[in-house]
Amino acid sequence: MPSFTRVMTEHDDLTQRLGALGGAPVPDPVRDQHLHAMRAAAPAPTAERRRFGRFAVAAAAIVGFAAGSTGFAMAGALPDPAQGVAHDVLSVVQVDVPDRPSGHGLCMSTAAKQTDPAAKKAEQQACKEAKQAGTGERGRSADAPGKTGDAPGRPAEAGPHPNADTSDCKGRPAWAGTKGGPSAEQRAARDACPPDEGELDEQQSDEADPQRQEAPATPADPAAPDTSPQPPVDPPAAPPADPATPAEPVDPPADTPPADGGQPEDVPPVDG
Amino acid sequence: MLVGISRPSDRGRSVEAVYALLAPAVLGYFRAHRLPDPEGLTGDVFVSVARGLPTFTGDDGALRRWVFTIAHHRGVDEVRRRARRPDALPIDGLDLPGPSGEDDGLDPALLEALAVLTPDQREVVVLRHVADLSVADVARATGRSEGSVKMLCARGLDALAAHLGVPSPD
Repeated sequence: MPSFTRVMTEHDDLTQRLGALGGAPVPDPVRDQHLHAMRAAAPAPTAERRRFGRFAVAAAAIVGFAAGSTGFAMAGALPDPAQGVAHDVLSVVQVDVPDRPSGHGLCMSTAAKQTDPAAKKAEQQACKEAKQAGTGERGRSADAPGKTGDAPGRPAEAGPHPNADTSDCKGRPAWAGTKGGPSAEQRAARDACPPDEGELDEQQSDEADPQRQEAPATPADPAAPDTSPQPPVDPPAAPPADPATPAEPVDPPADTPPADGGQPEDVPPVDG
Repeated sequence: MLVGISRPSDRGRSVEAVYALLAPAVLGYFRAHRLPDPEGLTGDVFVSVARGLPTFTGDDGALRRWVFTIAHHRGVDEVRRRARRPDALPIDGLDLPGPSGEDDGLDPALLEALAVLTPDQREVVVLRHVADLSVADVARATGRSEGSVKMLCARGLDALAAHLGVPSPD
């Protein structure tokens, strides 16, 4: 018989006395005191509620982020790409937030890169309409002198001139800025334009460089406000002149578009 | 009875059930070690149990092992705390309840005999027979091997028997 088992058999009475020591009841006052302390120490929320708390915190954070983002979107304070995305997404749920601001100058320069004349004209028209819708962006004005017949230096925010003509004889030629130059049809269409439209002539339009398109406001029309056109990218070719100071008869550069309408009488007109 | 599984709907009853099941053994454990204020130490143990009970999972055996592990650590902390206090009363100087006519479960002669054992023997004997833990549970609670637990338990019982005057079989 193993020694341990032998010991256990011999000391059964001793083990029973030891067991009785562990079975003695706790006095009632002590028991009540212990139970009171245990109930006070026990955590009130369960682990499940704690987990719910984490979910609630996470849900509240997500809702708060969404609400904050929507608020920023409605104020137009998001970065342009995010603002555009927010506009597209929220428009699905009928929430009107401003779209990403589109600079008019950027719009026009982007439109000018179109090779298709019809598409280019359509984009330019869209840019004008967008600006008219009140984006408030100041881009390179389409009302540069000689373009649409408006007075030089007409503010960009004023929108297109009510009498502006968007036909092929008005404004910048479709091929302006392109490397290929006008096609035969385009050239013929341009030639058919009346000479007093104030358009670029073929040679000037062929040599037209987007960097040289901004003409300084010539002081021919004292009544017109002297607001120099704001080039989107390029510096002006010449400093703007003071409207109060009569312009000296200076030959304009060959690639500079002539003043539209209000040329001083002592400046020889450029053949159109 | 799976009292160890916490049920939020009746957490209070679970706490009381655990106390009713194990409080007498824990109190006897501290009394067997002749530690002062065994009721206070028992209360400390069950406050720790109440805090950890919501996250405890296991059967009755695991619950008993867990509770007496807490009691063992609490007892060790108390002994170390008193050892650091030079003015602490020696354990042997404490008044132990003498024999009384009432069946209060206390056995002064046994308690006095337990003082004769070495601390390791007393620890193993009390956990094995007062707390009613298995050899494996005792080994796990004390950090010993099962063989060491058996040896210490056998030697402890022999020493108790010799002190109490229990005649040996030999």
